[in-house]
Amino acid sequence: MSEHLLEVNQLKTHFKTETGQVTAVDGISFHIDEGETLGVVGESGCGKSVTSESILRLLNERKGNTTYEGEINYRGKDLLNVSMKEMRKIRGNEISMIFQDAMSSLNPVYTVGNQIMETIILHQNLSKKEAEQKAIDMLALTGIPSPEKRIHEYPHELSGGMKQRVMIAQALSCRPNLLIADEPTTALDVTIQSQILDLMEDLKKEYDMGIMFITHDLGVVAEICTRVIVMYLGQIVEEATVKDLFDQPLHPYTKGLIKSIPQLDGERKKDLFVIKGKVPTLNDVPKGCRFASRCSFSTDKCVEEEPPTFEHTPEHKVKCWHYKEILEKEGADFGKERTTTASH
Amino acid sequence: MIGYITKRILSLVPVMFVVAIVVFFIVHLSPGEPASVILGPNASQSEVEALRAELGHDDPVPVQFFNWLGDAVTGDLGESIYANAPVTEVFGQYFIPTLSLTIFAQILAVVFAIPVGIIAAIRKGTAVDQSLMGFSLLGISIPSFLLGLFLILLFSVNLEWFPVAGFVPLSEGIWPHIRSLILPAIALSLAQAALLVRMTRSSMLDILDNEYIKAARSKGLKERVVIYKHALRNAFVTILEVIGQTFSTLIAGAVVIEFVFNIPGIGQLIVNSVERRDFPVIQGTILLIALLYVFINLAIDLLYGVVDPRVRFGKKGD
Ligand SMILES: Nc1ncnc2c1ncn2[C@@H]1O[C@H](COP(=O)(O)OP(=O)(O)OP(=O)(O)O)[C@@H](O)[C@H]1O
Ligand SMILES: [Mg+2]
Repeated sequence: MSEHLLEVNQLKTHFKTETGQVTAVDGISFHIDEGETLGVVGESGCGKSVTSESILRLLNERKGNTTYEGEINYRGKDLLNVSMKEMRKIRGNEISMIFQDAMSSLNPVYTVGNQIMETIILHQNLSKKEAEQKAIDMLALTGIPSPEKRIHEYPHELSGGMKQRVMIAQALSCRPNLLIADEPTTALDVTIQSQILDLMEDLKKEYDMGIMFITHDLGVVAEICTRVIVMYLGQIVEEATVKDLFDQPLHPYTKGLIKSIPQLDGERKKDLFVIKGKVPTLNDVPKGCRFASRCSFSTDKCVEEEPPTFEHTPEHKVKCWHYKEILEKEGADFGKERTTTASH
Repeated sequence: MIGYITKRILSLVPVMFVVAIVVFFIVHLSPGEPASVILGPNASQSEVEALRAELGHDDPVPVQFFNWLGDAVTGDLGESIYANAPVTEVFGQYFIPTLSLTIFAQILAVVFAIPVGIIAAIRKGTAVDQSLMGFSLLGISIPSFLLGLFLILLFSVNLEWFPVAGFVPLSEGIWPHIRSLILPAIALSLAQAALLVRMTRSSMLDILDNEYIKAARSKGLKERVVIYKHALRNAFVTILEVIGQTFSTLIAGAVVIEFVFNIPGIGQLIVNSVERRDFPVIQGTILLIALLYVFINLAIDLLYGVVDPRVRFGKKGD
């Protein structure tokens, strides 16, 4: 068996919609180890949230219009095949999740204490009193002032940053092995954002958990991730360590993403780089390389044939026919030009 | 919470004042002279005028209004011309059957409709959902008096399970009382129940799409807890609103059903009083019904506060 904490193999997530079936996540494979932070980046709509929610099978509860294919191995079990009962034991306990929108992830009609305690009571054999103490401790851990008062407050009484801390406290209350954080800081202002990131970093060290960190902010990735996967239209186009990704991005899409990070170099203030064209919809996925229509290196082969995933090094994989030629042509320069951002 | 309640109650004062003005003038401006109604067709002109003066009907209209209002505030709505009894007493007597019927119908609707609405929401798109929606559409479309007649025909005339008509007061025993109300309550509540099923379903579906529902599932909660703890409490805000509205509709509908089942309620009182030109009773009854509506709405508002903390803290509504 694998020694990875989580290993996703050829995962596909299909949705039935009015206009037919769409495959929002199309054959992706990756792994997460204990104690590491895997960054997942990509433009809006590329399937980051669908990927993360597929891991806990949160997408097919009600409508039954979602189907999964592939394997999600976690501790010798395939999460796509375990019973619902077993899944419920894992959710919130061994694998927990912080959702993209913290503002609306708390139930408005229950106090935050009630909601944190609910998870604790469910998974740990604690009395109500003990669970309350634990909830207070968890809130204190996330740096919320006077947590013993806060637990009696309702979500609408808290600021965005506070709600995010509550979500983190809740997610970590059962000491999960894996934390899936879906853009946990997007809605927050920069100061709060960096506080929350520091907090997650500290807690990760303390708990030795794996984190899957979803974001479209490459700056954040550079700050806290160990490895990164780059997604484009439901597929992984590049996988690398953070250092490799910034020093030597191989996929033209990744290069575009990195170039479009706003730069505050001081000396020269360039226009913000934007990748040309727009993402095709899931209803007409190109048959060749999905990025071809927006790529300045694309050839007939790109349009006709889907590229396989090449291993540039065992740690660095890329889904592009021409990555070698491109690397020879301009790759070396790219790395030098960007060392400022990557040295984090 | 106390501040919220006081605020809500104080806000009723101007509402009731406007209602009082409208009630007073509607009756005051309608044709018919109370004094001549009281004295009958054979009274002489001077007798009528004497009575008018005695009743204060010669005073300027604003004076009459404030006299009436002043009495009304202290609970004196005048005397019934026909029954020779205080209006409040007459009202109370006719109101009890209406209230029993309405409350019974409301309970039936809520107890039946909310669970059915939840089931339809959970089974959205399945045959169960579609047939429940079909039935509820049918339920909304059947006029209550037709349903009432049909129920009488089937259960009272043919099967003889229930009395054909009439009302048994609570004082004659709880079972006979309920037995006399079952058919009218079903007839009265079906349309409301059907509406409530649809509203419960749609508000549950709305709520189930929320991020916090997914978040609740991600904690490992059982689907039952997700539905009944996390979703229902939120959906209840909308459900309450519908209950508040249907309760008012039920009172109005009760008037019709009372005729079909021959129940001596408010409907009969109003129609009889209009025929008899019993002005104090008409005025008083309308005023008291308005007061009732206002208090039902107040109760519903206060319940919002109980269900939804955002209301309690004055963030929503107002
Ligand atoms: N339940 C669903 N039914 C049909 N399509 C869906 C469903 N959920 C997501 N999708 C589609 O799947 C694609 C991926 O969505 P996803 O939410 O994973 O994007 P994302 O990468 O998280 O984007 P963002 O950065 O905006 O959060 C989108 O095109 C979306 O429209
Ligand atoms: Mg997302």
